[in-house]
Amino acid sequence: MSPRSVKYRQASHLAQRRIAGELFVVDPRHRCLHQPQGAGDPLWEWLKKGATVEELVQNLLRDYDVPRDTAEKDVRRFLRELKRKKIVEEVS
Amino acid sequence: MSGIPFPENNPAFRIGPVGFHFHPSSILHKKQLFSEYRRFLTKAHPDFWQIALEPAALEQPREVPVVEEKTGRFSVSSGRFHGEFSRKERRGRLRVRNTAAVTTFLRAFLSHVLTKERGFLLHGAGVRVNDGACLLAGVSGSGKSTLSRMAAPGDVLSDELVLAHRGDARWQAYGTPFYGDVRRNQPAGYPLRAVFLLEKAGEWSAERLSQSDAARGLLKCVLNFSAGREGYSSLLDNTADLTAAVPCLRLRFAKKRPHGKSLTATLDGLLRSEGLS
Repeated sequence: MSPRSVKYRQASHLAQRRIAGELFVVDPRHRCLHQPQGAGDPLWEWLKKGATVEELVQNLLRDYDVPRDTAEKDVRRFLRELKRKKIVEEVS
Repeated sequence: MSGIPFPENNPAFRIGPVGFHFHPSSILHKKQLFSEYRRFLTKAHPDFWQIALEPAALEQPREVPVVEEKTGRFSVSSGRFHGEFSRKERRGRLRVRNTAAVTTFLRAFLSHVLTKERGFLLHGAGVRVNDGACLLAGVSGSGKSTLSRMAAPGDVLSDELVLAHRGDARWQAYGTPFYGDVRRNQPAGYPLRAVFLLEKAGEWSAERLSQSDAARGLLKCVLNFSAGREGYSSLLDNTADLTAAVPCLRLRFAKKRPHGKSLTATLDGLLRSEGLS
């Protein structure tokens, strides 16, 4: 599978809900609170069903007035952060 | 303890909305439970958790309790105790290295049971203010005991862990038998008027928090030993509900009471100045 076709999805062990419009994501394994903000908020929502990097970039370009370069950098940085925190998983 | 025969009966006590009826196998455990929870003793009720208590030579090194739940049964264990319980039957068996371990067990057990029954245990002091109570929430070293010492002895629900529970109509704050430096715990429950998140400062002031800031601050103070998603989901729901229903403020406080006023009067004044009479 090429890296471009890898789909990412929110890890299944997380507890989450919105409180006063803000995302509260808790990782029970590490007892950590995560709060995706800014572009991270919609990116996190799109990861609920699973999405490739390209799909996430396209969604950002559709909803925000940003150059493609910036959108791609934001997506990659966000996914890197989620992988480091182990709250996103790859799906085939 | 008037009206409660000792030692023929087994100890029954209530912490907030949760009742316990212990059945110790040893007379020593029974005496120690009567003594430790004397302020919380009450008549046994069929709805109470029925817990058989037995001594055991436990040698596990783990100190932090762990709660695991599967299909209506759950276990609560650490290096000093191990208990298994049925949620449906509200009964179980607890093995302990010594009676002191019962206190640690109760913290873990209550924190787990309450999350699914619209409540939680919070690191915080509880103080009566007029017809209600205020919760002064903060982790270790935040000033809970310092503030509790400023209150009249009969006004302190606990200086360490307070139970918050959503009853039919509103959130209530209850005293617990868990204490830090100030052992003046009161078992009573009062309508929860406000939650103050503690911050040490040179002067006294209060500032109303947004719901999300309040939730963030409160989550740091919630006691939770379960490692499962379900428990945390309930905990987030309870946090959202409490922060929507009860005013939450940041309390900046100094070591001395302002103008020698009681803590109750000080908190009441701060609430009124925020329009929360």
